Amino acid sequence: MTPILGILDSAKTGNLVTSSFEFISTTTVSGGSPAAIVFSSIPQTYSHLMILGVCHHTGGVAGATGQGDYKFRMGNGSVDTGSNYYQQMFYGTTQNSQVSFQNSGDYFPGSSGWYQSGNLGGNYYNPQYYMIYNYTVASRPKSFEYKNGYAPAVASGNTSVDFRTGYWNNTSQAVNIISLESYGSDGYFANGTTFSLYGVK
Amino acid sequence: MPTPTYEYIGSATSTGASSILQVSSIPNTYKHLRVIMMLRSSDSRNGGQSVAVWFNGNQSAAYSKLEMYGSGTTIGSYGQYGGGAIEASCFMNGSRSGVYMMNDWWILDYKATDKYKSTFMRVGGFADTNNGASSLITGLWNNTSAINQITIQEGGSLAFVAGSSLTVWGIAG
Repeated sequence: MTPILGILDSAKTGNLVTSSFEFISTTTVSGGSPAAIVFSSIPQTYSHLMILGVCHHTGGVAGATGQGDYKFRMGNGSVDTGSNYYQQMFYGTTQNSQVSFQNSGDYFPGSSGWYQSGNLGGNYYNPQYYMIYNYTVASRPKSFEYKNGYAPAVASGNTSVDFRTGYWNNTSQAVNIISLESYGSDGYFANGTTFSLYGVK
Repeated sequence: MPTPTYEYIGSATSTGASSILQVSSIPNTYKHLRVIMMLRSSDSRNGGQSVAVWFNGNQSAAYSKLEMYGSGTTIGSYGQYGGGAIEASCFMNGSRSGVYMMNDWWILDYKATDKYKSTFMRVGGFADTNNGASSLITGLWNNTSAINQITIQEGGSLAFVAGSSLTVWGIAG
């Protein structure tokens, strides 16, 4: 059998193998209640972006458990607050699996932990995962994938695990700014909330 | 020279003799962990088998998960709370020859000592003409310790077949 050999494109790097997955920036909430976490001046040198993090929200009704949404947006130079966000959502709870979608929203809804009181405490954080694809290709709507989940230590009707895909409907600009915004009226990102941005070549 | 961002930490590969795989001495120098398990049990039946996953040798009732799954033409979701491990999956050895269950985990902020450890994972594979599974799972270790060890055990305490593996990477941030 003829083996299939991989070839390193060494001419690009002076015979050095470059990293194809690079850390860009991290923001961690500490000592405040920011309304938004913003990644700006995002380098245009990658093919895709990844965001990893954990999230906790200060809002919530006393005695209640659950999670709240935050606003995920992107743009070029400034964040686009227009009705240009679309998503398809597939999620599971302790009761069943469901689907939903959004057309022409003015943000994409991420989900944060919302564990102010009740039988849950401040040590719970939602895992967060985003992939934003071909973010430098101005001519295409920018597609993204999002996953998050919430499994508390005790049974709760508000648990969920989500898989969502969507796009920012802009065909003239690359993405160089991303924001994650609390609603504010319901509370803010709590201390310890952290998001890290990575570039994928 | 770019700063290393995605680094191999360690792996354990079954020789076919043990029901347990473990990676220890996970350093405290990354932001997140990625864990990939490729698993097949020596259990001679056809189908899926659970795999227990626990951290730092801790098997107290401190683990929970919520799973959304599709299997054949069935979809569903369910939760498990207060168990001694998070449940992952493997194929049994009566399933289609050579198929290993994929378990792809992300463990976020694994070294934070002020947070319970939250994970999400994609699990699945197709092992027969009528026997596949795809799942998205979120998991919780209700403990604020930094994770320094990951252990997995086949649900029936039977050996993993040779080639089953547990591999851990560190993600800077």
